[in-house]
Amino acid sequence: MSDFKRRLAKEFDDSREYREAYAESFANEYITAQMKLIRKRRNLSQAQLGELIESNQGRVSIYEDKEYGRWNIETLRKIAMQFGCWLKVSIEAYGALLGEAERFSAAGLLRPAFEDDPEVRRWLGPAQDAKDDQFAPARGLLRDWLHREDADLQPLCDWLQGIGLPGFPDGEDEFQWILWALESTAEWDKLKAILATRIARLITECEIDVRPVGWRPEVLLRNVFLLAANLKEAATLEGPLDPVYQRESQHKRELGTPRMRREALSALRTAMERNQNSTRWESVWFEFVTRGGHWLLPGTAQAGFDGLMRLSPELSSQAYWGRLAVAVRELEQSAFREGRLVPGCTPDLIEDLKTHIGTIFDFWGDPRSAIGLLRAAIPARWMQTAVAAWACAVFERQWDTPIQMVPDPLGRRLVDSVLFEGSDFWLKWNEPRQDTAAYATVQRAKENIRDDNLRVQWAAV
Amino acid sequence: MKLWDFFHPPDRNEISDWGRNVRLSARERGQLNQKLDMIERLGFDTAHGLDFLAGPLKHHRHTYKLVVHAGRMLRPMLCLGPFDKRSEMTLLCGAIEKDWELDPPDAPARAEAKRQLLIDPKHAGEKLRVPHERF
Repeated sequence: MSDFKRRLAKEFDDSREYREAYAESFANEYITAQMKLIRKRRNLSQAQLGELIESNQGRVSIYEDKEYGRWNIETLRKIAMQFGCWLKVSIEAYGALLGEAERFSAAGLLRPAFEDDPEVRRWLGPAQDAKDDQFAPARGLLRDWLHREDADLQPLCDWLQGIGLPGFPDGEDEFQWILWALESTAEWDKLKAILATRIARLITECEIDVRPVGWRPEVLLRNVFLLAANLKEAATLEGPLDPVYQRESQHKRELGTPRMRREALSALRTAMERNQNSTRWESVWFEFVTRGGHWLLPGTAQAGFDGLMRLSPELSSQAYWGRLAVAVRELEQSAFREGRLVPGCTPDLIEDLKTHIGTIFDFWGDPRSAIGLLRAAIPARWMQTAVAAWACAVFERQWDTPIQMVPDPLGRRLVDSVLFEGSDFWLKWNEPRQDTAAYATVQRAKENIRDDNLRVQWAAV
Repeated sequence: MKLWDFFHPPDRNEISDWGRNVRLSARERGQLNQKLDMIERLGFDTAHGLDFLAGPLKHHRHTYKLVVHAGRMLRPMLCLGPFDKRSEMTLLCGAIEKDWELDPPDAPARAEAKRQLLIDPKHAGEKLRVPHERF
Protein backbone atom coordinates (compact mmCIF):
# COMPACT_ATOMS: atom_id res chain seq x y z
CA MET A 1 0.00 0.00 0.00
CA SER A 2 1.24 3.48 -0.81
CA ASP A 3 2.96 5.27 2.10
CA PHE A 4 2.03 8.60 0.60
CA LYS A 5 -1.69 7.79 0.53
CA ARG A 6 -1.58 6.34 4.03
CA ARG A 7 0.10 9.49 5.38
CA LEU A 8 -2.25 11.81 3.55
CA ALA A 9 -5.33 9.87 4.68
CA LYS A 10 -4.12 10.20 8.26
CA GLU A 11 -3.66 13.94 7.87
CA PHE A 12 -7.11 14.26 6.31
CA ASP A 13 -8.56 12.29 9.17
CA ASP A 14 -6.86 14.49 11.78
CA SER A 15 -8.47 17.74 10.74
CA ARG A 16 -11.36 18.79 8.58
CA GLU A 17 -9.85 22.23 8.15
CA TYR A 18 -6.62 20.64 6.93
CA ARG A 19 -8.26 18.41 4.34
CA GLU A 20 -10.44 21.23 3.05
CA ALA A 21 -7.43 23.51 2.65
CA TYR A 22 -5.45 20.75 0.94
CA ALA A 23 -8.31 19.98 -1.45
CA GLU A 24 -8.93 23.64 -2.27
CA SER A 25 -5.28 24.26 -2.94
CA PHE A 26 -5.02 21.09 -5.06
CA ALA A 27 -8.09 21.98 -7.14
CA ASN A 28 -6.85 25.53 -7.73
CA GLU A 29 -3.43 24.41 -8.77
CA TYR A 30 -4.80 21.63 -10.93
CA ILE A 31 -6.93 23.95 -13.05
CA THR A 32 -4.34 26.74 -13.37
CA ALA A 33 -1.51 24.33 -14.15
CA GLN A 34 -3.71 22.63 -16.74
CA MET A 35 -4.70 25.93 -18.36
CA LYS A 36 -1.08 27.07 -18.60
CA LEU A 37 0.31 23.79 -19.87
CA ILE A 38 -2.35 23.27 -22.54
CA ARG A 39 -2.12 26.90 -23.66
CA LYS A 40 1.64 26.58 -24.07
CA ARG A 41 1.25 23.22 -25.83
CA ARG A 42 -1.15 24.93 -28.30
CA ASN A 43 1.44 27.69 -28.84
CA LEU A 44 -0.96 30.39 -27.65
CA SER A 45 0.10 33.50 -25.78
CA GLN A 46 -2.09 34.85 -23.00
CA ALA A 47 -3.08 37.70 -25.31
CA GLN A 48 -4.08 35.30 -28.11
CA LEU A 49 -6.15 33.16 -25.76
CA GLY A 50 -7.70 36.33 -24.32
CA GLU A 51 -8.78 37.35 -27.78
CA LEU A 52 -10.23 33.93 -28.55
CA ILE A 53 -12.40 34.00 -25.42
CA GLU A 54 -13.40 37.63 -26.02
CA SER A 55 -11.36 38.87 -23.10
CA ASN A 56 -7.79 40.15 -22.79
CA GLN A 57 -4.29 39.18 -21.71
CA GLY A 58 -4.74 40.65 -18.24
CA ARG A 59 -7.81 38.53 -17.52
CA VAL A 60 -6.11 35.34 -18.78
CA SER A 61 -3.18 36.10 -16.52
CA ILE A 62 -5.62 36.36 -13.61
CA TYR A 63 -7.36 33.11 -14.60
CA GLU A 64 -3.95 31.40 -14.60
CA ASP A 65 -3.20 32.64 -11.10
CA LYS A 66 -3.70 29.76 -8.70
CA GLU A 67 -4.70 32.12 -5.92
CA TYR A 68 -7.56 33.61 -7.96
CA GLY A 69 -9.99 30.90 -6.95
CA ARG A 70 -13.12 32.53 -8.39
CA TRP A 71 -13.29 31.17 -11.93
CA ASN A 72 -16.71 31.17 -13.39
CA ILE A 73 -17.88 28.08 -15.18
CA GLU A 74 -18.77 29.95 -18.35
CA THR A 75 -15.24 31.37 -18.67
CA LEU A 76 -13.64 27.99 -18.04
CA ARG A 77 -15.97 26.45 -20.62
CA LYS A 78 -14.91 29.04 -23.18
CA ILE A 79 -11.24 28.32 -22.48
CA ALA A 80 -11.81 24.54 -22.74
CA MET A 81 -13.60 24.99 -26.06
CA GLN A 82 -10.75 27.06 -27.45
CA PHE A 83 -8.41 24.19 -26.51
CA GLY A 84 -10.63 21.79 -28.47
CA CYS A 85 -11.76 20.12 -25.23
CA TRP A 86 -14.82 20.12 -22.97
CA LEU A 87 -15.24 21.23 -19.37
CA LYS A 88 -16.08 18.71 -16.70
CA VAL A 89 -17.19 19.95 -13.25
CA SER A 90 -17.54 17.23 -10.70
CA ILE A 91 -18.01 16.71 -6.95
CA GLU A 92 -15.54 14.15 -5.63
CA ALA A 93 -14.88 12.12 -2.50
CA TYR A 94 -11.64 12.59 -0.55
CA GLY A 95 -10.55 9.07 -1.45
CA ALA A 96 -10.19 10.20 -5.05
CA LEU A 97 -7.95 13.06 -3.94
CA LEU A 98 -5.48 10.59 -2.38
CA GLY A 99 -4.98 8.94 -5.76
CA GLU A 100 -4.98 12.17 -7.74
CA ALA A 101 -2.43 13.81 -5.46
CA GLU A 102 -0.18 10.78 -5.69
CA ARG A 103 -0.40 10.51 -9.49
CA PHE A 104 -0.19 14.24 -10.18
CA SER A 105 2.07 14.99 -13.11
CA ALA A 106 2.37 17.55 -15.85
CA ALA A 107 1.85 14.96 -18.59
CA GLY A 108 -1.33 13.82 -16.87
CA LEU A 109 -2.77 17.33 -17.21
CA LEU A 110 -2.39 17.60 -20.98
CA ARG A 111 -5.42 16.91 -23.19
CA PRO A 112 -5.47 16.48 -26.97
CA ALA A 113 -7.66 18.71 -29.11
CA PHE A 114 -10.65 17.01 -30.70
CA GLU A 115 -8.89 16.77 -34.07
CA ASP A 116 -5.89 15.00 -32.53
CA ASP A 117 -7.78 12.86 -30.05
CA PRO A 118 -6.65 9.28 -30.76
CA GLU A 119 -9.70 7.80 -29.10
CA VAL A 120 -12.04 9.78 -31.35
CA ARG A 121 -9.92 8.93 -34.42
CA ARG A 122 -10.05 5.26 -33.52
CA TRP A 123 -13.83 5.20 -33.44
CA LEU A 124 -14.05 7.19 -36.65
CA GLY A 125 -12.11 4.48 -38.52
CA PRO A 126 -13.69 1.49 -40.29
CA ALA A 127 -15.66 -0.52 -37.73
CA GLN A 128 -14.00 -3.92 -38.12
CA ASP A 129 -10.51 -2.47 -38.22
CA ALA A 130 -10.87 -0.27 -35.18
CA LYS A 131 -9.68 -2.96 -32.78
CA ASP A 132 -7.35 -4.91 -35.04
CA ASP A 133 -5.48 -1.87 -36.17
CA GLN A 134 -5.35 0.17 -33.01
CA PHE A 135 -1.56 -0.11 -32.96
CA ALA A 136 -1.09 0.93 -36.60
CA PRO A 137 -0.26 4.62 -35.94
CA ALA A 138 2.13 3.78 -33.10
CA ARG A 139 3.67 0.95 -35.12
CA GLY A 140 4.36 3.26 -38.06
CA LEU A 141 5.98 5.85 -35.84
CA LEU A 142 8.09 3.32 -33.96
CA ARG A 143 9.27 1.55 -37.09
CA ASP A 144 10.30 4.80 -38.74
CA TRP A 145 12.23 5.81 -35.66
CA LEU A 146 13.89 2.42 -35.27
CA HIS A 147 14.96 2.37 -38.93
CA ARG A 148 16.53 5.81 -38.69
CA GLU A 149 20.24 5.33 -38.10
CA ASP A 150 21.01 8.63 -36.36
CA ALA A 151 17.78 8.66 -34.33
CA ASP A 152 17.53 11.05 -31.42
CA LEU A 153 16.58 9.39 -28.10
CA GLN A 154 14.12 12.12 -27.11
CA PRO A 155 11.08 10.50 -28.81
CA LEU A 156 11.66 7.28 -26.86
CA CYS A 157 11.81 9.29 -23.62
CA ASP A 158 8.53 10.98 -24.54
CA TRP A 159 6.75 7.77 -25.55
CA LEU A 160 7.79 6.04 -22.37
CA GLN A 161 6.28 8.93 -20.40
CA GLY A 162 2.99 8.65 -22.27
CA ILE A 163 3.62 11.60 -24.57
CA GLY A 164 3.15 11.46 -28.34
CA LEU A 165 2.37 7.75 -28.56
CA PRO A 166 -0.51 7.50 -31.04
CA GLY A 167 -3.57 5.64 -29.84
CA PHE A 168 -2.20 5.23 -26.34
CA PRO A 169 -5.15 4.92 -23.97
CA ASP A 170 -5.20 5.72 -20.27
CA GLY A 171 -4.80 2.73 -18.03
CA GLU A 172 -2.22 0.93 -20.16
CA ASP A 173 1.51 0.84 -19.54
CA GLU A 174 3.53 2.80 -22.06
CA PHE A 175 6.18 0.09 -22.47
CA GLN A 176 3.44 -2.47 -23.08
CA TRP A 177 1.92 -0.35 -25.84
CA ILE A 178 5.29 -0.21 -27.61
CA LEU A 179 5.69 -3.98 -27.34
CA TRP A 180 2.17 -4.68 -28.59
CA ALA A 181 2.67 -2.34 -31.51
CA LEU A 182 5.93 -3.97 -32.57
CA GLU A 183 5.40 -7.63 -31.71
CA SER A 184 2.98 -8.16 -34.57
CA THR A 185 5.48 -7.04 -37.21
CA ALA A 186 7.31 -9.57 -39.36
CA GLU A 187 10.63 -7.90 -38.58
CA TRP A 188 10.12 -8.07 -34.80
CA ASP A 189 13.42 -9.83 -34.10
CA LYS A 190 15.38 -7.19 -35.93
CA LEU A 191 13.45 -4.31 -34.37
CA LYS A 192 13.82 -5.86 -30.92
CA ALA A 193 17.61 -5.85 -31.25
CA ILE A 194 17.62 -2.21 -32.41
CA LEU A 195 15.28 -1.18 -29.59
CA ALA A 196 17.54 -2.91 -27.05
CA THR A 197 20.52 -0.97 -28.41
CA ARG A 198 18.61 2.31 -28.10
CA ILE A 199 17.62 1.48 -24.52
CA ALA A 200 21.23 0.65 -23.73
CA ARG A 201 22.21 4.06 -25.15
CA LEU A 202 19.50 5.80 -23.15
CA ILE A 203 20.71 4.22 -19.93
CA THR A 204 24.40 4.71 -20.63
CA GLU A 205 24.54 8.08 -22.36
CA CYS A 206 21.75 9.89 -20.52
CA GLU A 207 22.20 8.16 -17.13
CA ILE A 208 18.47 8.53 -16.62
CA ASP A 209 18.72 7.09 -13.12
CA VAL A 210 20.96 9.98 -12.03
CA ARG A 211 19.70 12.83 -14.17
CA PRO A 212 15.92 12.77 -14.37
CA VAL A 213 14.59 13.31 -17.87
CA GLY A 214 11.24 14.85 -18.76
CA TRP A 215 8.13 15.49 -16.73
CA ARG A 216 7.69 12.00 -15.37
CA PRO A 217 11.22 10.72 -14.77
CA GLU A 218 10.09 7.93 -12.44
CA VAL A 219 7.59 6.67 -15.01
CA LEU A 220 10.31 6.80 -17.64
CA LEU A 221 12.69 4.77 -15.47
CA ARG A 222 10.07 2.17 -14.69
CA ASN A 223 9.05 1.84 -18.33
CA VAL A 224 12.62 1.67 -19.60
CA PHE A 225 13.40 -1.16 -17.22
CA LEU A 226 10.18 -3.05 -17.95
CA LEU A 227 10.78 -2.68 -21.68
CA ALA A 228 14.32 -3.99 -21.17
CA ALA A 229 12.91 -6.88 -19.13
CA ASN A 230 10.54 -7.86 -21.91
CA LEU A 231 13.07 -7.56 -24.71
CA LYS A 232 15.34 -10.13 -23.02
CA GLU A 233 18.40 -9.01 -24.98
CA ALA A 234 20.93 -9.95 -22.32
CA ALA A 235 23.98 -9.50 -24.54
CA THR A 236 23.06 -5.85 -25.13
CA LEU A 237 21.40 -4.92 -21.86
CA GLU A 238 23.24 -6.64 -19.03
CA GLY A 239 26.24 -4.31 -19.36
CA PRO A 240 24.27 -1.04 -19.16
CA LEU A 241 21.99 -2.27 -16.36
CA ASP A 242 24.82 -3.19 -14.03
CA PRO A 243 26.13 0.38 -13.52
CA VAL A 244 22.57 1.48 -12.67
CA TYR A 245 22.43 -1.18 -9.96
CA GLN A 246 25.91 -0.21 -8.74
CA ARG A 247 25.05 3.51 -8.63
CA GLU A 248 21.85 2.83 -6.68
CA SER A 249 23.74 0.61 -4.27
CA GLN A 250 26.33 3.30 -3.71
CA HIS A 251 23.65 5.96 -3.22
CA LYS A 252 21.90 3.84 -0.62
CA ARG A 253 25.14 2.97 1.13
CA GLU A 254 26.19 6.62 1.34
CA LEU A 255 22.88 8.40 1.94
CA GLY A 256 20.76 5.66 3.47
CA THR A 257 18.07 5.78 0.76
CA PRO A 258 18.01 4.74 -2.87
CA ARG A 259 17.66 7.45 -5.48
CA MET A 260 14.86 5.69 -7.35
CA ARG A 261 11.36 4.98 -6.11
CA ARG A 262 10.17 1.49 -5.29
CA GLU A 263 8.36 0.92 -8.61
CA ALA A 264 11.47 1.80 -10.59
CA LEU A 265 13.67 -0.38 -8.37
CA SER A 266 11.26 -3.25 -8.75
CA ALA A 267 11.34 -2.82 -12.54
CA LEU A 268 15.14 -2.68 -12.42
CA ARG A 269 15.16 -6.02 -10.60
CA THR A 270 12.93 -7.56 -13.28
CA ALA A 271 15.16 -6.15 -16.03
CA MET A 272 18.25 -7.61 -14.33
CA GLU A 273 16.52 -10.96 -13.81
CA ARG A 274 15.68 -11.32 -17.50
CA ASN A 275 18.87 -9.93 -19.00
CA GLN A 276 21.60 -12.09 -17.50
CA ASN A 277 24.51 -12.88 -19.73
CA SER A 278 26.94 -13.76 -16.94
CA THR A 279 26.90 -14.72 -13.28
CA ARG A 280 27.63 -11.19 -12.02
CA TRP A 281 24.28 -10.92 -10.17
CA GLU A 282 24.36 -14.42 -8.65
CA SER A 283 25.05 -13.03 -5.19
CA VAL A 284 22.11 -10.62 -5.55
CA TRP A 285 19.71 -13.52 -6.12
CA PHE A 286 21.21 -15.55 -3.28
CA GLU A 287 20.70 -12.62 -0.94
CA PHE A 288 16.98 -12.64 -1.73
CA VAL A 289 16.85 -16.35 -0.90
CA THR A 290 18.91 -16.36 2.26
CA ARG A 291 17.50 -13.16 3.80
CA GLY A 292 14.00 -13.36 2.34
CA GLY A 293 14.68 -10.02 0.66
CA HIS A 294 17.38 -7.67 -0.56
CA TRP A 295 18.89 -4.61 1.09
CA LEU A 296 18.22 -2.45 -1.98
CA LEU A 297 15.89 -4.13 -4.46
CA PRO A 298 12.26 -4.87 -3.54
CA GLY A 299 11.13 -8.49 -3.55
CA THR A 300 10.96 -11.67 -1.51
CA ALA A 301 12.75 -15.02 -1.66
CA GLN A 302 10.83 -15.79 -4.85
CA ALA A 303 12.67 -12.93 -6.57
CA GLY A 304 15.89 -14.80 -5.79
CA PHE A 305 14.56 -17.99 -7.36
CA ASP A 306 13.34 -16.04 -10.39
CA GLY A 307 16.78 -14.54 -10.82
CA LEU A 308 18.62 -17.84 -10.41
CA MET A 309 16.16 -19.62 -12.69
CA ARG A 310 16.99 -17.23 -15.52
CA LEU A 311 20.75 -17.28 -14.93
CA SER A 312 22.10 -19.19 -17.96
CA PRO A 313 19.17 -21.60 -18.10
CA GLU A 314 20.25 -24.90 -19.60
CA LEU A 315 18.59 -28.23 -18.86
CA SER A 316 21.80 -30.19 -19.00
CA SER A 317 23.93 -27.78 -17.00
CA GLN A 318 25.04 -29.15 -13.64
CA ALA A 319 26.12 -25.69 -12.52
CA TYR A 320 22.65 -24.35 -13.24
CA TRP A 321 20.82 -27.01 -11.22
CA GLY A 322 23.49 -26.83 -8.54
CA ARG A 323 22.71 -23.14 -7.94
CA LEU A 324 18.99 -23.80 -7.66
CA ALA A 325 19.43 -26.80 -5.38
CA VAL A 326 21.68 -24.73 -3.10
CA ALA A 327 19.05 -21.97 -3.08
CA VAL A 328 16.42 -24.47 -1.91
CA ARG A 329 18.79 -25.70 0.79
CA GLU A 330 19.56 -22.12 1.87
CA LEU A 331 15.85 -21.47 2.31
CA GLU A 332 15.47 -24.67 4.27
CA GLN A 333 18.39 -23.79 6.52
CA SER A 334 17.16 -20.28 7.17
CA ALA A 335 13.79 -21.78 8.19
CA PHE A 336 15.71 -24.13 10.47
CA ARG A 337 17.50 -21.19 12.06
CA GLU A 338 14.17 -19.40 12.53
CA GLY A 339 12.63 -22.48 14.17
CA ARG A 340 10.13 -23.01 11.36
CA LEU A 341 11.17 -26.61 10.71
CA VAL A 342 8.12 -27.97 12.49
CA PRO A 343 4.61 -28.73 11.25
CA GLY A 344 1.96 -26.10 11.80
CA CYS A 345 4.26 -23.07 11.53
CA THR A 346 3.00 -20.20 9.42
CA PRO A 347 3.90 -19.94 6.61
CA ASP A 348 4.18 -23.70 6.24
CA LEU A 349 7.74 -24.51 5.26
CA ILE A 350 6.97 -27.38 2.88
CA GLU A 351 4.28 -25.34 1.15
CA ASP A 352 6.75 -22.51 0.85
CA LEU A 353 9.43 -24.75 -0.66
CA LYS A 354 6.86 -26.45 -2.89
CA THR A 355 5.86 -23.08 -4.33
CA HIS A 356 9.45 -22.15 -5.13
CA ILE A 357 10.26 -25.55 -6.61
CA GLY A 358 6.95 -25.45 -8.51
CA THR A 359 7.90 -22.17 -10.18
CA ILE A 360 11.12 -23.78 -11.39
CA PHE A 361 9.17 -26.71 -12.85
CA ASP A 362 6.63 -24.36 -14.45
CA PHE A 363 9.41 -22.23 -15.92
CA TRP A 364 10.68 -25.29 -17.77
CA GLY A 365 7.40 -27.16 -18.22
CA ASP A 366 9.48 -30.28 -18.72
CA PRO A 367 9.77 -33.31 -16.36
CA ARG A 368 13.52 -33.38 -17.03
CA SER A 369 13.77 -30.27 -14.84
CA ALA A 370 12.59 -32.35 -11.85
CA ILE A 371 15.39 -34.83 -12.45
CA GLY A 372 17.94 -32.03 -12.94
CA LEU A 373 17.01 -30.50 -9.60
CA LEU A 374 16.92 -33.83 -7.77
CA ARG A 375 20.34 -34.78 -9.11
CA ALA A 376 21.77 -31.52 -7.75
CA ALA A 377 19.94 -31.96 -4.44
CA ILE A 378 22.21 -34.83 -3.41
CA PRO A 379 25.46 -32.83 -3.20
CA ALA A 380 23.47 -29.84 -1.91
CA ARG A 381 22.31 -32.01 1.04
CA TRP A 382 18.65 -31.25 1.15
CA MET A 383 16.77 -32.10 4.28
CA GLN A 384 13.50 -34.02 4.35
CA THR A 385 11.31 -30.94 4.03
CA ALA A 386 12.82 -30.02 0.65
CA VAL A 387 12.58 -33.64 -0.52
CA ALA A 388 8.92 -33.68 0.47
CA ALA A 389 8.30 -30.37 -1.32
CA TRP A 390 10.01 -31.72 -4.45
CA ALA A 391 7.88 -34.91 -4.39
CA CYS A 392 4.65 -32.96 -3.91
CA ALA A 393 5.54 -30.54 -6.72
CA VAL A 394 6.14 -33.56 -8.97
CA PHE A 395 2.81 -35.16 -8.01
CA GLU A 396 0.92 -31.92 -8.48
CA ARG A 397 2.11 -31.78 -12.09
CA GLN A 398 1.48 -35.52 -12.54
CA TRP A 399 5.10 -35.92 -13.49
CA ASP A 400 5.66 -39.01 -11.31
CA THR A 401 5.19 -41.28 -14.35
CA PRO A 402 6.93 -39.09 -16.99
CA ILE A 403 10.07 -38.76 -14.87
CA GLN A 404 10.44 -42.51 -15.02
CA MET A 405 10.78 -42.11 -18.79
CA VAL A 406 13.55 -39.53 -18.65
CA PRO A 407 16.55 -41.16 -20.30
CA ASP A 408 19.20 -42.02 -17.80
CA PRO A 409 17.61 -40.48 -14.74
CA LEU A 410 19.22 -41.02 -11.41
CA GLY A 411 18.12 -44.58 -11.44
CA ARG A 412 14.50 -45.49 -11.32
CA ARG A 413 14.90 -46.98 -7.89
CA LEU A 414 16.28 -43.79 -6.41
CA VAL A 415 13.61 -41.61 -8.04
CA ASP A 416 10.87 -43.92 -6.76
CA SER A 417 12.21 -44.00 -3.27
CA VAL A 418 12.60 -40.22 -3.12
CA LEU A 419 9.01 -39.83 -4.32
CA PHE A 420 7.87 -42.34 -1.75
CA GLU A 421 9.89 -40.98 1.14
CA GLY A 422 9.06 -37.40 0.25
CA SER A 423 5.33 -37.97 0.02
CA ASP A 424 5.39 -40.12 3.15
CA PHE A 425 7.12 -37.34 5.07
CA TRP A 426 4.62 -34.80 3.72
CA LEU A 427 1.65 -36.96 4.77
CA LYS A 428 3.01 -37.26 8.30
CA TRP A 429 3.75 -33.52 8.38
CA ASN A 430 0.15 -32.83 7.35
CA GLU A 431 -1.52 -35.44 9.49
CA PRO A 432 -3.47 -32.82 11.46
CA ARG A 433 -4.94 -31.53 8.18
CA GLN A 434 -6.02 -34.75 6.52
CA ASP A 435 -9.15 -33.25 5.13
CA THR A 436 -7.37 -31.28 2.39
CA ALA A 437 -7.64 -32.29 -1.25
CA ALA A 438 -3.86 -32.15 -1.53
CA TYR A 439 -3.56 -34.74 1.22
CA ALA A 440 -5.79 -37.17 -0.64
CA THR A 441 -3.92 -36.61 -3.92
CA VAL A 442 -0.52 -37.26 -2.42
CA GLN A 443 -1.79 -40.29 -0.52
CA ARG A 444 -3.16 -41.78 -3.75
CA ALA A 445 0.09 -41.02 -5.53
CA LYS A 446 2.09 -42.66 -2.77
CA GLU A 447 -0.07 -45.77 -2.95
CA ASN A 448 0.49 -45.92 -6.70
CA ILE A 449 4.21 -45.93 -6.30
CA ARG A 450 3.92 -48.72 -3.83
CA ASP A 451 1.64 -50.71 -6.06
CA ASP A 452 3.68 -50.17 -9.18
CA ASN A 453 7.09 -51.18 -8.23
CA LEU A 454 8.40 -49.78 -5.04
CA ARG A 455 7.55 -52.71 -2.87
CA VAL A 456 9.38 -55.00 -5.24
CA GLN A 457 12.35 -52.71 -5.41
CA TRP A 458 12.56 -52.20 -1.67
CA ALA A 459 12.60 -55.97 -1.38
CA ALA A 460 15.42 -56.07 -3.90
CA VAL A 461 17.32 -53.47 -1.91
CA MET B 1 12.16 15.24 -6.98
CA LYS B 2 13.25 14.47 -3.44
CA LEU B 3 12.85 17.13 -0.77
CA TRP B 4 15.23 17.66 2.13
CA ASP B 5 15.14 19.90 5.22
CA PHE B 6 18.12 21.80 6.62
CA PHE B 7 19.17 20.20 9.88
CA HIS B 8 21.19 21.40 12.87
CA PRO B 9 22.89 18.39 14.45
CA PRO B 10 22.18 16.65 16.65
CA ASP B 11 18.41 17.04 16.65
CA ARG B 12 17.01 20.32 15.31
CA ASN B 13 15.17 20.38 12.00
CA GLU B 14 15.21 24.01 10.84
CA ILE B 15 12.02 23.71 8.81
CA SER B 16 9.92 21.76 11.31
CA ASP B 17 11.06 24.19 14.00
CA TRP B 18 9.99 27.17 11.90
CA GLY B 19 6.58 25.56 11.34
CA ARG B 20 6.15 25.15 15.09
CA ASN B 21 7.46 28.60 15.95
CA VAL B 22 5.11 30.44 13.61
CA ARG B 23 2.25 28.21 14.79
CA LEU B 24 1.00 27.12 11.40
CA SER B 25 -2.74 26.61 11.43
CA ALA B 26 -4.31 23.41 10.06
CA ARG B 27 -5.32 25.36 6.96
CA GLU B 28 -1.78 26.65 6.42
CA ARG B 29 -0.31 23.21 6.93
CA GLY B 30 -2.76 21.77 4.40
CA GLN B 31 -1.82 24.33 1.76
CA LEU B 32 1.89 24.09 2.46
CA ASN B 33 1.97 20.29 2.34
CA GLN B 34 -0.13 20.26 -0.82
CA LYS B 35 2.29 22.64 -2.54
CA LEU B 36 5.30 20.58 -1.53
CA ASP B 37 3.61 17.32 -2.65
CA MET B 38 3.00 18.88 -6.03
CA ILE B 39 6.56 20.13 -6.41
CA GLU B 40 7.84 16.70 -5.47
CA ARG B 41 5.84 15.25 -8.36
CA LEU B 42 6.30 17.94 -10.96
CA GLY B 43 10.01 18.48 -10.53
CA PHE B 44 11.76 21.82 -10.36
CA ASP B 45 11.48 22.99 -13.98
CA THR B 46 7.74 22.48 -14.30
CA ALA B 47 7.00 23.82 -10.81
CA HIS B 48 9.07 26.90 -11.56
CA GLY B 49 7.42 27.31 -14.96
CA LEU B 50 4.02 27.19 -13.30
CA ASP B 51 5.06 29.84 -10.74
CA PHE B 52 4.80 27.55 -7.72
CA LEU B 53 8.29 28.80 -6.97
CA ALA B 54 9.54 32.36 -7.26
CA GLY B 55 13.16 33.18 -7.92
CA PRO B 56 16.03 33.02 -8.10
CA LEU B 57 15.99 35.86 -5.58
CA LYS B 58 17.82 39.12 -6.13
CA HIS B 59 21.46 38.88 -4.91
CA HIS B 60 20.95 35.19 -4.10
CA ARG B 61 20.93 33.38 -7.40
CA HIS B 62 20.61 29.90 -5.89
CA THR B 63 17.68 30.66 -3.60
CA TYR B 64 14.01 30.31 -4.48
CA LYS B 65 10.92 30.90 -2.40
CA LEU B 66 7.86 28.74 -2.31
CA VAL B 67 4.73 30.80 -2.92
CA VAL B 68 1.89 29.84 -0.60
CA HIS B 69 -1.02 32.23 -0.11
CA ALA B 70 -2.55 30.76 3.01
CA GLY B 71 -3.93 32.79 5.94
CA ARG B 72 -0.46 34.35 5.88
CA MET B 73 1.90 34.57 2.90
CA LEU B 74 4.19 31.63 3.63
CA ARG B 75 7.51 31.79 1.82
CA PRO B 76 9.86 28.95 2.79
CA MET B 77 13.26 29.42 1.13
CA LEU B 78 14.79 26.57 -0.79
CA CYS B 79 17.50 25.72 -3.28
CA LEU B 80 17.96 23.18 -6.03
CA GLY B 81 20.23 20.35 -4.98
CA PRO B 82 22.69 21.46 -3.72
CA PHE B 83 24.30 18.08 -4.40
CA ASP B 84 22.14 16.66 -7.15
CA LYS B 85 20.42 19.53 -8.92
CA ARG B 86 18.39 17.24 -11.12
CA SER B 87 16.63 15.25 -8.50
CA GLU B 88 16.54 17.07 -5.20
CA MET B 89 15.69 20.34 -3.50
CA THR B 90 16.50 21.46 0.01
CA LEU B 91 14.28 23.62 2.21
CA LEU B 92 16.73 25.96 3.91
CA CYS B 93 14.69 28.21 6.16
CA GLY B 94 11.18 29.47 6.72
CA ALA B 95 9.82 32.97 6.07
CA ILE B 96 6.53 34.85 5.94
CA GLU B 97 5.86 37.80 3.68
CA LYS B 98 3.78 40.74 4.83
CA ASP B 99 3.37 44.05 3.02
CA TRP B 100 6.10 42.98 0.57
CA GLU B 101 8.54 42.49 3.43
CA LEU B 102 9.91 39.14 4.52
CA ASP B 103 9.98 38.03 8.12
CA PRO B 104 12.79 37.52 8.94
CA PRO B 105 13.96 40.26 6.56
CA ASP B 106 17.29 38.54 5.94
CA ALA B 107 15.68 35.18 5.11
CA PRO B 108 17.32 34.95 1.63
CA ALA B 109 20.74 35.65 3.14
CA ARG B 110 20.14 33.09 5.88
CA ALA B 111 19.09 30.57 3.28
CA GLU B 112 22.21 31.20 1.22
CA ALA B 113 24.39 30.87 4.33
CA LYS B 114 22.83 27.49 5.03
CA ARG B 115 23.33 26.40 1.44
CA GLN B 116 26.98 27.40 1.73
CA LEU B 117 27.27 25.30 4.88
CA LEU B 118 25.84 22.32 3.01
CA ILE B 119 28.34 22.53 0.17
CA ASP B 120 31.32 23.54 2.30
CA PRO B 121 33.84 20.67 2.13
CA LYS B 122 34.72 21.39 5.77
CA HIS B 123 31.31 20.07 6.73
CA ALA B 124 31.41 17.05 4.44
CA GLY B 125 30.19 14.01 6.31
CA GLU B 126 28.12 16.07 8.76
CA LYS B 127 24.42 15.43 8.74
CA LEU B 128 23.21 18.91 7.82
CA ARG B 129 20.00 17.87 6.11
CA VAL B 130 17.36 15.19 6.55
CA PRO B 131 14.49 13.96 4.34
CA HIS B 132 11.69 16.51 4.47
CA GLU B 133 9.28 16.14 7.38
CA ARG B 134 5.69 17.05 6.55
CA PHE B 135 4.16 20.01 8.36
